Amino acid sequence: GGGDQEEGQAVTLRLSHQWPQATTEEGDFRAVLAERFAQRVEERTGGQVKIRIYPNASLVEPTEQYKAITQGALDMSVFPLDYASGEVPQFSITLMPALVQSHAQAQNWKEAEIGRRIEQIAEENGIKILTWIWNAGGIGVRQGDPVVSPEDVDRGAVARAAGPRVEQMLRRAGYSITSMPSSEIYNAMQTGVLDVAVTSASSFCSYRIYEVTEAYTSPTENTFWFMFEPLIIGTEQFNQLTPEQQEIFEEVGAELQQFAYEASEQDDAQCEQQFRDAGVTVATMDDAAFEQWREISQPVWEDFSREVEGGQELMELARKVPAE
Amino acid sequence: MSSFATGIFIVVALLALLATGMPIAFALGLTALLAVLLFLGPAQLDFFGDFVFNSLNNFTLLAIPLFIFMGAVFGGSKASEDLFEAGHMWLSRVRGGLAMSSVVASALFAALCGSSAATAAAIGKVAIPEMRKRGYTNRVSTGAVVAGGTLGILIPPSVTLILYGIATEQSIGQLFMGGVVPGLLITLFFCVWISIAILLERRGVVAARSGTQEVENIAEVESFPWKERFKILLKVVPFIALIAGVLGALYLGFATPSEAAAVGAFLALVLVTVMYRSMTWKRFSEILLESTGESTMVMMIVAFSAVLGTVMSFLAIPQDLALLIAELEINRWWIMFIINVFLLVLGFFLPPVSIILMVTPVLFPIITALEFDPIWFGVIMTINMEMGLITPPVGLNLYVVKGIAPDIPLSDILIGSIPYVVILGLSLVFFSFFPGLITWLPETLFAR
Amino acid sequence: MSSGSGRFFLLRWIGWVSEVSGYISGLLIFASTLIICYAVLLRALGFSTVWQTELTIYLLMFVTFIGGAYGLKHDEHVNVDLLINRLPVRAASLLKLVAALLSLVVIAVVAWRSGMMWLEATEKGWRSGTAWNPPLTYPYAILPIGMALIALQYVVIMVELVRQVITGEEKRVSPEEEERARAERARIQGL
Ligand code: NA
Ligand code: NA
Repeated sequence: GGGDQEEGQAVTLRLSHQWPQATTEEGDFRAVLAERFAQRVEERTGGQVKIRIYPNASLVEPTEQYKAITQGALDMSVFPLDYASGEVPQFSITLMPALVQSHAQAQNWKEAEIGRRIEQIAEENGIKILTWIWNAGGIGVRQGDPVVSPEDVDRGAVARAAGPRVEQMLRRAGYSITSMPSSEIYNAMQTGVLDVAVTSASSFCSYRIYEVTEAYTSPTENTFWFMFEPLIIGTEQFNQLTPEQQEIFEEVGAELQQFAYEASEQDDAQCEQQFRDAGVTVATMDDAAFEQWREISQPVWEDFSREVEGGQELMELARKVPAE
Repeated sequence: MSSFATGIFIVVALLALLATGMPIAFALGLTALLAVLLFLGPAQLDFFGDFVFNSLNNFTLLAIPLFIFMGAVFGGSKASEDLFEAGHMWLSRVRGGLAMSSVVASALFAALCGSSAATAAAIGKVAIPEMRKRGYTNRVSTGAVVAGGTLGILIPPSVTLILYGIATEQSIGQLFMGGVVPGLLITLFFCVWISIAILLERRGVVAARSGTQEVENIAEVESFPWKERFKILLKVVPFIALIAGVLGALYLGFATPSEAAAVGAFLALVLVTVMYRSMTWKRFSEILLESTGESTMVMMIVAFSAVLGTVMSFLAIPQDLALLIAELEINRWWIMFIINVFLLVLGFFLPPVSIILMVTPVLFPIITALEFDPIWFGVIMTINMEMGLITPPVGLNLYVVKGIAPDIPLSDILIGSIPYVVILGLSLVFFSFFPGLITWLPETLFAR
Repeated sequence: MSSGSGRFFLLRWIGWVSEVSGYISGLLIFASTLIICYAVLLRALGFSTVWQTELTIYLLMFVTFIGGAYGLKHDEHVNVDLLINRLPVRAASLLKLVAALLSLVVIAVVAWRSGMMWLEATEKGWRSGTAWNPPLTYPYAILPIGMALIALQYVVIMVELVRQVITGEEKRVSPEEEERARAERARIQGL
């Protein structure tokens, strides 16, 4: 990537993400976070490190960002880690259906044993996590009533959920599955490719999916979908920075941590309101419904523990994370 | 190097490579390769394989080989004869009716396949001999077929509009609907020109210059009994039903473009086999091989133009160019005019697929920045591409017709066709003044 | 070229492989049609589908890249032939030879990079990361194989071009035949 540098020479890194372009103040919070990160890094390095942001999947397909980073075509991304589960199956622990139940629990991952294991696996596979970002997901339905419990599933309808494990669970619930990045949901819903989409509340709003749905299940009460979408940099690219620059990267990443957590939680409520304002039928998931989803997710958890190297251990560590 | 200079280098390199006559797909690939080596560094080459692979990793693209397959099924069938015959019987009382029925039959056939040249070939084979037999001049008869054929990419389904839709993330259903009204209006404009051309020939204005002796017996009106007229209409109904079914399924959201194409192709196969009883294993394998040849050609260009597009994105060329143009204090319609002239020039040399794939990634940010409607622009671009199918030196439809009627001089085909370029050019102006004619149908149908 | 010598046998064999690649690709277009119709039917009946979409995408890649050799053999790749058509036989053949060599550069790079990609995906057991989640070793094999077949077909073409450069003689075709071939090409290119 642009990481090669001689003493005192300025470098430009490429950061790609799939959300609409934002400013440091306004937009999808993941895109805002990228803008703020770029701005602060440039300030603190005195212009020695510039980060050029390619929003809206304008550079690489969202699911290809991991490979692009490890091959050096790209340097950084705000990346839904499970998109790379084809290459690194362990990453699916970060999008396991009905495993994480609340933002509080998600935020406990970073300091827990599972957090260190994820960082370790990521670095072994060529990426370094700078800021932890978690998103709660909603369920959007193109036509019909909201999907609250597995009983509401319209058999054969086509669903998308980011990541194979949640999709396996939805398949058990009776859906047809087509896989696509969240940036393609709007178009797919509009053209009828997709009947049901599960994605982060933030994506539901920044892609204006309320324009093409009739019903929405908001994650403000419960959700079976929590996805980890950290700000990452390629380890090789990171190692090519000077020690001072590396320190700046880590510090700026840590400074933005609180913003990432708070903005994600706020988005759930704000997005729910946007759906209501757009005249969409909005529902929430009660504890009983959540338990039903968790029940049909069990075989998927078991598959993961059995099929993936070290899956059993990851699963156990993840289940130890305190809920509050 | 500034992104502007880099952009110029890429354009010049591409033109030079195209001039060697190498396949467009590989010329695009080599330009991308050079740009990577010169501006991004050899390390970026690692991603080249993924680029090519991922550019086709898209379910919507499947609509292209499937619509090509559907077009090939109809191409060799007697469907074109029936469509032409129906047009002939119903327009028989109009002077120049036979030439008009070539245009109308082309419009109908266009709705069965996504290709302009295939439309010109299918209708031309039937219509040109008939018109010549009845005393139409070479110019009028070939002009009608060349021009009618261009409707193939405007009236849905359209390979060009699918590619535009994918490149710009616009709804293909909406784009297809956007092509309907302009398609019908241009069909009408063409017919109006035919009656004017016949009138001019009658007065000897055109014929005197061309020196033909066929003026005397031009286009005698014929009359057919109503019973026969309705009988032929019955033969056309299944095709219309098939078109309506495919487009309806798209519009109602029952099927994606690829699914509509697959079901359409399957039903087309059944329809042609049952109606004409002429399907043999030999014909079937010809259809499949024809579809393979066309698909591989289009999709290779798709793959390698996507690679070049990605490389240009890495170099931030489209983004910078859009910013630059948005900052210019020029009326946006002037820019639209310049864009259309630019497209027309490309159309002299390149087929629509290549143009759409090469320029859309660069033009679309500009279009969005200037707040033009993306569906409207997709249709405008397609009408512009239609002109390129007629204009020399590389006017594909001209050669298709030349191939069907080898004894007609290319100059006659060309002179007969040129007025239609003017009509298409005027249509561009017309649809710029009345953009609602393009956007009304998709907006109404897809309104929620 | 009815000679039984090994060299010509090899050229004929390559031509035969390109021909077969076309037939297989044609059948796969038909297979994709049936698979998609089947998926539409299943969904209409309320059954779930999971592999159909992804499989048909891979079939399309097969048609594109492996059918590419067939397309090249039958001269079905669109190009701009303005200059070539205006040159005498020897010069035109020489330019075509240069164009073929330039094309081979692209083909070689793509074959090399996609071959490495296939190797990595195979060694590391990469999967597609979708709900169906097939091993990527199969779809990733399409690109290197396809590029290899196209390269072989180019060898046949270049042997003929070298002959034309040396002898200055084009393959004999009647004007009508030439015009028909040209119209056929235009039809194929005019999408
Ligand atoms: Na069409
Ligand atoms: Na032209």
